[in-house]
Amino acid sequence: MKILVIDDSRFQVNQITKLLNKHGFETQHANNGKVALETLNSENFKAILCDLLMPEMDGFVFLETVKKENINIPVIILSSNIQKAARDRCKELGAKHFLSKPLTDEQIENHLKPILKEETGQTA
Amino acid sequence: MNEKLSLTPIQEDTLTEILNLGVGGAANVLNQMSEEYIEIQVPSLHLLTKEEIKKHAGNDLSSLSIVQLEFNSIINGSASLILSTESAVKLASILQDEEIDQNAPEAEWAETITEVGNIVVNSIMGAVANTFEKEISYLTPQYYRKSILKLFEDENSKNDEIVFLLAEMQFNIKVHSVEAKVIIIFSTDSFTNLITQLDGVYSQSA
Repeated sequence: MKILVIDDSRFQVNQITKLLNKHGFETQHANNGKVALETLNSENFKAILCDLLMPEMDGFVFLETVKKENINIPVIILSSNIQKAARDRCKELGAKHFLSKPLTDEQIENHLKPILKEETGQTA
Repeated sequence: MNEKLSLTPIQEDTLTEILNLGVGGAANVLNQMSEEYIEIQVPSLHLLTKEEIKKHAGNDLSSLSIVQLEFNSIINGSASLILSTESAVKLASILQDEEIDQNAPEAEWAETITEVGNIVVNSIMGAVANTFEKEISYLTPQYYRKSILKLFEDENSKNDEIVFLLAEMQFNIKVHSVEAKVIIIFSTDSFTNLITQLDGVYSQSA
């Protein structure tokens, strides 16, 4: 099962990739929302983990675009931004969850895996 | 404190408490990332003129690792995570889980420190935004090697405003002798907004 990780920090990408691989997921990385949109056409991703603050296309614009273009892949925001206003905006834009960095085993178990089960039609 | 612009003791206490929340959140995130106990200190606030801010920096010209995020909206300014290069390399070693030589090129560790700065500043400013029930926008974090004095001089040159509100917070990982400081500089153009927000928070809690 392949997850697209959108983040401009190599450090974060390394940490997130290691953890997702540990849980048995494959990953692909995009440096920002714009690159991610190009990547989406070439692969079959089951979920997207997306940062908010990125150059060229940030997480908010990425969410807007995903919504506008009816891209049917669940997007989970993984950000250092802890503001309630940002969280609310992401939810309005269609984010499935808003998680605080750093990504943890608990977040994968409690938020990512249930979404993937829904997407693949498995029962929890 | 400046004679023209000042914080009342209640406003100062309110802001210190909000920043304390943010510092606690930042320490929690750093603890999760490093799996080490993070020692923190109560934030200290200073309201300084352009001249005073230079004096505050002293004559220390030592080159430091600085991650700066500029923010705007209801309040404008910048927040910087500041570490000696020695502390920065040690912290990156802990987080990257690999031994990094003190003389290693910045490319091996600066990006990790930039992300730490991003996370710490977001925790602190996020607490401010959540308390004010407003959204604060950030520019992407920038990594610099410069002295505190140069940091303040650069802030001065960016801005014609005459007063800076400095909030200083200290983070330590004692066992690894890692020391980091966060300095937030609020510029005067948003000072009135800041006071209004602080008064609003206090009147709600009173």
